[in-house]
Amino acid sequence: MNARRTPDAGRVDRARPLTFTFDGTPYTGYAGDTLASALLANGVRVVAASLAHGRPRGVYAAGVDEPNALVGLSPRAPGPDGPGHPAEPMAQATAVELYDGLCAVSLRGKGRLDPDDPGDHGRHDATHAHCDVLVVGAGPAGLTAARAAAATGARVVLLDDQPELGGSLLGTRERVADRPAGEWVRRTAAELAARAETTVLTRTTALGCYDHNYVVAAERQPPASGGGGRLWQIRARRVVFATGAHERPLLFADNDRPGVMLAGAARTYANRYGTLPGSRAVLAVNNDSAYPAALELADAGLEIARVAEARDRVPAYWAALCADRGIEVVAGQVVVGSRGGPDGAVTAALLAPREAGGTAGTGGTAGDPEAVDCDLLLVSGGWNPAVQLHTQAGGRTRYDERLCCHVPEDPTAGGTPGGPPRRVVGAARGLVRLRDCLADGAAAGADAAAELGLTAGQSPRPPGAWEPEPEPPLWPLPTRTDLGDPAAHYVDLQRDATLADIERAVGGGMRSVEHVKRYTTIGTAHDQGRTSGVTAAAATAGVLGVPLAELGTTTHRPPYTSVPFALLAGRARGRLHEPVRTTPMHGWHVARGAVFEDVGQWKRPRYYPLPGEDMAAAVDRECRAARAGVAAMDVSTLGKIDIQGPDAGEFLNRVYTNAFAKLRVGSSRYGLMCTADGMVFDDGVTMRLAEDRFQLSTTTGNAAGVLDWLEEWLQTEWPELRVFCTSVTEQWSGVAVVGPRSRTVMSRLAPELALDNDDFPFMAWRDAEVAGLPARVARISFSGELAFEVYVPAWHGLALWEAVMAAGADEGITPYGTETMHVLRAEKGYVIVGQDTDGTVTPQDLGMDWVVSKRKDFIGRRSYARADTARTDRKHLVGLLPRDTAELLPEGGHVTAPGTDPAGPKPVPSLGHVTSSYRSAALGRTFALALVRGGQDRIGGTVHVPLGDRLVAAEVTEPVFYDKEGSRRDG
Amino acid sequence: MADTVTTLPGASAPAAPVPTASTDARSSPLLHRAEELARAGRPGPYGVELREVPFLTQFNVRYRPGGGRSAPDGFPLTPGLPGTPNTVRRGDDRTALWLGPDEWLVVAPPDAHAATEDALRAAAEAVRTGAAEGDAGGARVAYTDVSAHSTALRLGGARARDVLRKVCAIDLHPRAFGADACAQTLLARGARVLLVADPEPDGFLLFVRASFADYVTDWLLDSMAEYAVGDGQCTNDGR
Amino acid sequence: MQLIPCPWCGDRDEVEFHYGGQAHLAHPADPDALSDEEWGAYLFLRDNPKGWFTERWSHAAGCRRWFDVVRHTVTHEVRPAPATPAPAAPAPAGTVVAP
Repeated sequence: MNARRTPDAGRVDRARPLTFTFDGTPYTGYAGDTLASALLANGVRVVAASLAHGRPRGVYAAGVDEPNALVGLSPRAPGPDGPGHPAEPMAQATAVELYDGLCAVSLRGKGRLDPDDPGDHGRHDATHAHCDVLVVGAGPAGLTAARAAAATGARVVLLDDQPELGGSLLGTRERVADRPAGEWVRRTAAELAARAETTVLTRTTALGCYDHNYVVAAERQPPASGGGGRLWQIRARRVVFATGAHERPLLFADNDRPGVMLAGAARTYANRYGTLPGSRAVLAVNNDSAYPAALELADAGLEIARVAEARDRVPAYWAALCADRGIEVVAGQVVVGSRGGPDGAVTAALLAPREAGGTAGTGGTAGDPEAVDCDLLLVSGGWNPAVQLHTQAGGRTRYDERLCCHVPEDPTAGGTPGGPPRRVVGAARGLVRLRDCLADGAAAGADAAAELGLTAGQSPRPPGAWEPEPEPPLWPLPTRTDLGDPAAHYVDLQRDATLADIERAVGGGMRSVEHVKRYTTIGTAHDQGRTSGVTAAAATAGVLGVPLAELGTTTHRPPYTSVPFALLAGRARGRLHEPVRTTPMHGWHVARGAVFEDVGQWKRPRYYPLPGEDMAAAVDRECRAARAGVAAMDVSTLGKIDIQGPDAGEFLNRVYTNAFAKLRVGSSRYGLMCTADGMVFDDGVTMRLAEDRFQLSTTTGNAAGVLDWLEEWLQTEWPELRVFCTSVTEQWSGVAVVGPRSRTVMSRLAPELALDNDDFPFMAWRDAEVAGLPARVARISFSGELAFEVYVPAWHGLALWEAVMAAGADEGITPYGTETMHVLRAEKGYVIVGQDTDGTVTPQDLGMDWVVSKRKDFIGRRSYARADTARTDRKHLVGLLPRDTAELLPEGGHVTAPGTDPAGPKPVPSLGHVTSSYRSAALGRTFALALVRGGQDRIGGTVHVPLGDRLVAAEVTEPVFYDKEGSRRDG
Repeated sequence: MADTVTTLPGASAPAAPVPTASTDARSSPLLHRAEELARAGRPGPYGVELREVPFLTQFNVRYRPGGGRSAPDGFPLTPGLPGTPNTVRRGDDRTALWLGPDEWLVVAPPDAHAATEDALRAAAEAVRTGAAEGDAGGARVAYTDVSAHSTALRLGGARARDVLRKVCAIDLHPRAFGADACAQTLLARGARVLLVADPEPDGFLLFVRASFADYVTDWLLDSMAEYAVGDGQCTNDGR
Repeated sequence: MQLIPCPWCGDRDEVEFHYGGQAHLAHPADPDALSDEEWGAYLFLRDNPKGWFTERWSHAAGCRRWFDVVRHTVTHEVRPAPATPAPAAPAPAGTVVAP
């Protein structure tokens, strides 16, 4: 059934066949296959049509560099046959582990999200990890690096994107220490698994390396578990990138046919997956790595029709081994084109002698091309180090003339100058020999640990200084501008971008590779240009006629591979998303059917609708209760800061615009805080608890900000002040008992407390027993009505609330929420900092000159003498009364002068905006507060607020609408 | 709750019995989740357990010694205040946790509230009057009752560290966060928390602000889920 | 996610901190002695160098202390500022303190 399988090779489990479908056709593969290897094993050559040109394409690579084999995976619900699997709108078949029942369709270039797919099969979550040495990549260099670091006792994390360790060794028949590499990998893996402080993560891809060695990696669950994954947020003191290399393709006409494949990929399919991707192959190569590929493929049963060696000379070592197997090797020969059959797949390679002395951009050929029949055209243009993580973390690269690729400029310092130490090892720094990679990794792992003061008893480093051995020179990429159609020379297979596109870009005046990239879209597809990046740069250099080294390279950005949003979101969804803060009375509010409002992170009841009530009706009822009877509100959320020390009064004098030093113990005062530029920052009521102690209150959303602000001044400007600030926001729960009947309710709750105006005047506070609880009662009013705020330790908050509701039951005590609070305070013209102010508003703009001391200095005072704050046409807080008493102005609505045509020339001149707007039960009409330019001079006049296609006329008034005399606060 | 009944003299409204709360009627922030917490845990070698430790006595203590000294050695309260950042000092019935270079949290059992407050009052008085050793000049001291400000959660069991590191970015490895360690940090998406190593037995104590208690509990329960079911031999075993 | 070296708590993720902008900008002792231009400069004008920058941070979610660091605005390399007072005692073992 698997026509292309070798008899016994590979790491697939032939005892575990898996069935799957591709474009509706059922196939069989084995556990351990990728979708790509299973398709190749079934002889599927054409796997997709290309994005723009619709050309047939086949599997081209064996990993995340795959540009062609894009598939969509259908979702599968969990059932008796196995776990559910999520839909995957776009994946590389080379990176999809085969599972039973997998259902894939080929994609033409891009996937499509299914809006009906819930997309949450499997559990996605996140975790943090810390380590001394993080090794990214578990190939030969990564394994030795991890082993050497772990041997010192260092905390090591080793991660690799494959299901098993070994990296490139999984796909070759190389030997380590004269034994099969697989044996060495198994032994090393076992050694690492035995280390208590070493964590090995497979199926885990490092997505990015961020500031200070913060590496984010995505771990996929194995397919048998039904999808899902874990996001690892790793903070590493040292990082070793052992990310390997990606093979570079060759550029020639019709280089995109099915059957054209990277030589190393074919080697991997044969050795790792026991799959021969064809029957008769031509190899077009320019470097040594293709020879073991040819030999191992031949040994696996593939007929090698020709090895076309671009270099002038075939290395003798490889020449002899090829001769042993009867493989014809022709030096000085390059591939210049291909022929295809009816399905587009390759049927012959066109080979031609290379013109002597050709270099990048000028390479030409001598003589006519020769056609060699084949169904597999394997190419190898050398190897591009996978420097993506290195460079996006700030590391630099340089162009290496010998390797024809970009290598880390300083692989041992890594990163930025003086930045956190990172190292690049093995093939990722341009090493090509296995023994070099092994030694390089071991040295880097030991060095990284040694920098942290960790050494192994017995050093795993080879004796003596180790230096990479020189390699034979490679021929640069020939760009074949003189042969064939440039529009058939595919540079980026996934984007269908060709040499002709590069010529057009350069012809259009572009000189930078970054510009060429954006013009041609080369390197911007799902595969992020792993096969096209260097080729595009070389082609651009060739067309421009400049050395590649001068041209530079494009910037790499995270993520290294695509990552599901579900993984980035993790568990932080729904109630686990943003923190939600609740008061001790929250359960009561919920049970009472409150509708909640977010105030900062707090959930506050907005109103408590009775059956059949909408918000307007509920707020109307709540307001009437507060104005005519008694109502209660949970005010626990107000920020509270305990201020202690002999200089506390002086400190408050400096941070508030008004004076606090002489406030009497037992009293409280409203205060306004400004920033140094004179703008309103926060407000609240502060109680003097003792000569050296105050309790300050802040707005609900700004408690932490105010505490930080106070600490900033205390610590950085006034360290001489003997003052300590401590947050007690949640130590105290509070209930405001509000309305003309509030004294009656309070007298029941606190029979021992004198409540009349003489003994307990407005703005006084008293410690008392309330409902049997130790409490602090303050006569503070944010409504203008007689009111008491009762505070108890938070664990008594619910008991207090229930006692208040019970005590007021026969008075019809009405719980009210923030919406009613807003109406009541706005009727009195009390501002809400952050709603009626926006950081550009002074106390004077609010008409609150009375709260700004003329006799002391305070933060912001100097700014009131600035020309900008002193001018008379600033925006002032005013009241607006719509002429139509039923018209509710929209908050945020623009205020315009009469005669302004909203349909006129833009921008329409705006005088300001509506900051607060409500229906008032007490006024029997709507009203609003607004910040209006020169507003104090417009009082009595009319302004217009555009509302849809209408203009709503409103009278400008003083911003106090109710009980202007303040006669109600004493009951 | 209503263990006493008061009738209000002179009230104009009909004299209805008014319930009065008892001072014993305290509700801890996670009282309503006690059963859920008990169900979520799983004892045993791979287990993890979470419970609330309510009503602990907690006082925020501020102290800056005089005479140019910076170490808090002379503070006259047992077991003393730790001078090493992010460490705790444990006494028989009272523990002091480092919060800042001049700030500590003194924690005691629920029934030690009055005794702790008395001890702090005496200590502060001694500092202010210069009676404390070496504090003759310019020492500053303050203390604030914050017992109801935060509640405590105890996360215990072999998997406690694995659970915690899903929601906490700081390094919890014993090499970095030892038996006497504490740290103020952020949990999940921004809930402030005071984390304390609680070695007897293996676990952590988390002081969480009352308002954040439900949110933090939701996260911890969610993070525990994979260890609290099945045999505990999950995919991330041993990491 | 940068690591900010709190002089007391060691390296912590930057989300635990509030940024305080340029360091060493003292509030003028006598604001009235300043011209409008000088006062405006104090309020609004800050250096914005490409390179090393001494700046203030507050460990808002930790020990609540303000401190200075020297940070490179290109590479984000961070060092404790020379003026930062030394902690009362060394950070606990295992804490990474920037050089």
